[in-house]
Amino acid sequence: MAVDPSARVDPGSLEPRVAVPGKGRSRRAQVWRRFRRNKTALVGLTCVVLFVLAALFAPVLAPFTYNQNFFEAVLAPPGGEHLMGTDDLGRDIYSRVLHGARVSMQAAVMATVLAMVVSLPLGLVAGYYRGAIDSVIMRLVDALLAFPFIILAIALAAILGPSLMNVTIALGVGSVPSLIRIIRGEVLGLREEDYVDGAIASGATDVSVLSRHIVPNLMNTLLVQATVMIPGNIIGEATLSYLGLGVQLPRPSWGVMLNAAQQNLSSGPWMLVFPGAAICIATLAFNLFGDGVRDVLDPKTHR
Amino acid sequence: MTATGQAADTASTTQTRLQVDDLSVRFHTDDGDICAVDGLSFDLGAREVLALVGESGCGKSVTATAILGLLPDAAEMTSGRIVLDGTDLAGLSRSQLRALRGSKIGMVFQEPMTSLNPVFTVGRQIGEVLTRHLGHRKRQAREVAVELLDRVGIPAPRQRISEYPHQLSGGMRQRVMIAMAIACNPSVLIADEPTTALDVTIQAGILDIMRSLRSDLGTSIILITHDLGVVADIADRVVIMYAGRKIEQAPVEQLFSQPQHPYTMGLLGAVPRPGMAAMMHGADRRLAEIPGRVPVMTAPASDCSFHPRCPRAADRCRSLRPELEGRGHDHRVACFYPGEEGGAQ
Repeated sequence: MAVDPSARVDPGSLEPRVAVPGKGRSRRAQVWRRFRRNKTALVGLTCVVLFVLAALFAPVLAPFTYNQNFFEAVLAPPGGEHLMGTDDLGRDIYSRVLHGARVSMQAAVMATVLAMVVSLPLGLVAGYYRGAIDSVIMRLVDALLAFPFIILAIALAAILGPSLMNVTIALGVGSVPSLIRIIRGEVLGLREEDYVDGAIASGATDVSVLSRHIVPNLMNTLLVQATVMIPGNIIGEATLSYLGLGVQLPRPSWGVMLNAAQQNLSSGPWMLVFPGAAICIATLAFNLFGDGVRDVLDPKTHR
Repeated sequence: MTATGQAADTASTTQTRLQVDDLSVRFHTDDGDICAVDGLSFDLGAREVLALVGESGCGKSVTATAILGLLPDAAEMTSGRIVLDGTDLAGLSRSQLRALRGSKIGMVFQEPMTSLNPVFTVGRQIGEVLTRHLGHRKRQAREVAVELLDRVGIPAPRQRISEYPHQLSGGMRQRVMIAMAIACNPSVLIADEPTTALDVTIQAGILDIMRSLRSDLGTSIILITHDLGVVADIADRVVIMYAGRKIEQAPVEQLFSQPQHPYTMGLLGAVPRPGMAAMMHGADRRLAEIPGRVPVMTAPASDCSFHPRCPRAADRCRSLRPELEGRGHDHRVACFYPGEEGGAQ
């Protein structure tokens, strides 16, 4: 029983219907009902929640600290006291993967938020006012898009110095250009909506048109974009950390762990397997969840 | 509308609410200029319903946007004066104009299905106008919004107010649009084809609301339409536009009983009437039509712009532009050969 919102409109009804209690089900409840039907998205959501919990409670959940060396058990295989084994310095991999989730989530979420905060005003101005300011913003965006992302990030890290904060900034700045494009495109469409004309015709200022009519209608798009950007940023953080531009020793990041694993591939393959699996599963989970969100929110994929 | 009601209304139209004088609007396009409106003048009295009638592309909606001061960037008002309640709108700043929109001039659009913001409840959208112009607080705005919904004939307004647009039918949404437009009790309401997207029974309900606005609140209404049935139902006076110019203006009954311009006659001939089919036979069982299309004016007309489609077109029509001339009380027409049989030449 598909509930298509447009199907609830009944243009043929001669007499206006009287409100039936329960019929005015909130939008949020409807969205959740639709989302729940998508099993893969639910699996994605479950994994996402687990990863977020792991990131939040890593110090509590981890049996050891990420920096504790067990010299009597260097490169111990998985099992026994060390669930995922130990690395070449005798550190518990399970604890390090949990703390790695923390770094990963922090970088991915912060970078996404940063990108949104920078892109939203620029995209709004470009799309709403068009004209000269639009041309200037969009040419800058084109210029930024011309740089390969990795080069940009390495350059930034080189200027600012390697750290988690700088990786976050690099990732955030890296996704600004495409996000501005998406927002601008969406605003170009929204400003032609009849309700925007209506608001202007009833005396609304530009600020109130933007804040009350355009931004609220952008929210679905932004949410969908965020679910696409987060997994991308997880991989981005791992990549930059692998290259040594990210979080600094001894703090663990999945990328740093992969780098260390490279030198011990034959003697301790588990050093590669677990952080690698964490990256794969986290990315897959966010993508599945994101697809589900897009299916229920993005007006272009249904109706 | 009864004849007596109309007489009373016309009697009270002494005070002029809105005066449009020699309005011309040009669009600058890549293919050159287009004269969308050319020298249009009309006035709107208190409690009057004035219908602007014409085919698509004749400049009706452009006139409305010009009055609101919301012409698109490509358009330019090359001449004209718009006076609202004694204030010349040309002398106002952008923010003064903005303050006028929604408070003294209300606007109802054609498309009720898309004219409401889908992410807010109707109560919040009506409340926004009240907050903006009257400084109402949230609760007060909500109370007034309930009253407004009640006024436009929405049952159970207290429940409806917290519903989203997608939960309402087209007719209900149009009622909400009207409620928003009249929230600040504007002296002039511009309704751009308010019933075109609705079916006939709902259309009648919307017209009833507009009638009650006029009688209860004293709102003057400019009704933009191409539906002569609606015009006959509610309008006091009619302005017929063609290719950006006013070609005929008359009180509604006069216009329907004694149309003067061949274009007006053509429009009236194209309206189906009950029993008409029974009276006609064979090949004649077709509605009359006006051949051709509205021309796109690239320069102000120097001839009668209707002549290519006009059955009466003579040499004079091709070289000279007819100006508006009086044909009886408050009835003006721009045609060299007006009236039943081409007029007294």
